[in-house]
Amino acid sequence: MAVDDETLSKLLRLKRYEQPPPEYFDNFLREFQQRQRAEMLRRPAWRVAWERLATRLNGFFDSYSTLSYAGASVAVIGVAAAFTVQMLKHPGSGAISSFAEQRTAIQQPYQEAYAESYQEPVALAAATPVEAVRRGPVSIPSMDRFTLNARFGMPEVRFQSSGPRQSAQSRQPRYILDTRPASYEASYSF
Amino acid sequence: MTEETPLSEDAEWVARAQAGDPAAFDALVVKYSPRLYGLVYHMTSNHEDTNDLLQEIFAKAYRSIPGFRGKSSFYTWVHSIAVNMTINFLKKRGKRNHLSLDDMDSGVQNDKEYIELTATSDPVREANLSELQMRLNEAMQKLSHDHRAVVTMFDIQGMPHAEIARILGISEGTVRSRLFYAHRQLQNYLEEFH
Repeated sequence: MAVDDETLSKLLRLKRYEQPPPEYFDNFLREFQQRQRAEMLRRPAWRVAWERLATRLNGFFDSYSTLSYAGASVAVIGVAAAFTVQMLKHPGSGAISSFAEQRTAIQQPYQEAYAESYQEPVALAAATPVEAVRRGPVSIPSMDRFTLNARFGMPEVRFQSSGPRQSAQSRQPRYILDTRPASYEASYSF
Repeated sequence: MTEETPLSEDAEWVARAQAGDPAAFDALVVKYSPRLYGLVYHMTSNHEDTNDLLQEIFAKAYRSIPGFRGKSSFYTWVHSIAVNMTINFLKKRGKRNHLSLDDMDSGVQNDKEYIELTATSDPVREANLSELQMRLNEAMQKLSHDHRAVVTMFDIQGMPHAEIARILGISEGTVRSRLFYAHRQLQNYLEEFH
């Protein structure tokens, strides 16, 4: 038997009678009130107030959203355009140039101090890079461990510079005290 | 339906609820819970789920009522909340099947369509009708959430197309096409049964 449209509609309409017993809705309201009270007690008062405020503000922004967003956008674009024009007209003026001056004033004493110290290099050891190949037992009497290791055929220890790949400046000796390099770089950079 | 609900009365309760009067919101709960129960129940086909969802729907409506500005009726607004929450719930629940309650309210005995369908008082015919109802429930479960929502609102709850379109935020044309497609699907499922 094919179910035509009309029969289907009638069958569907009968489903509206699938309802819980009438007392269900009385209990439902009671349960709702209890749940509401329990929820109100669980949540801190500030949160309830905040939710209410947020809902109200949502409504406010919904109603004024188009005008307010358009106005805010125009204002931001206008300010940005005016600032750009000002910068193009007077490149050396304004907040940016004063910041640059400030930066130079701070950097200058450090740069001068650095230049002076660099002219007198610290002479802690030989000024040429070390290149040594040690074979066999190390001839330092106090270091027995090295000697022992060498007897048992431990690998050679090579000390040598990394060769011609280095530039002229990097071939100059670097002296390291603890882990702090006495290097050529300025201590402060901005 | 909207014609059954005096809007001025709703508006007054809504205004009082917005001012913080819980009794006014209770009045709205009493008024709309049977209709919303039907909507949610025919979409979930499970009494416990319906009960929990309905509690959550009214709790959400209560929290959101300060932001309700009356652009639509309270009826449309609360139905939108119910449909959206139910569809979200069904998406989370997945394909767990729950068949309808068989205990129809006694009012069905006086229904014109029921009388027509069982007019011959033939026990075989009545048994068939009951079987058909059961199959229809199964077929309803096979519809997509969106199609089930439209069938529930139009065929079971008797809402007009325009009202359904407002609640779902879609065009009337979409409502009609969803209904057409859902009816075809239901008919196919019922034919398979025969």
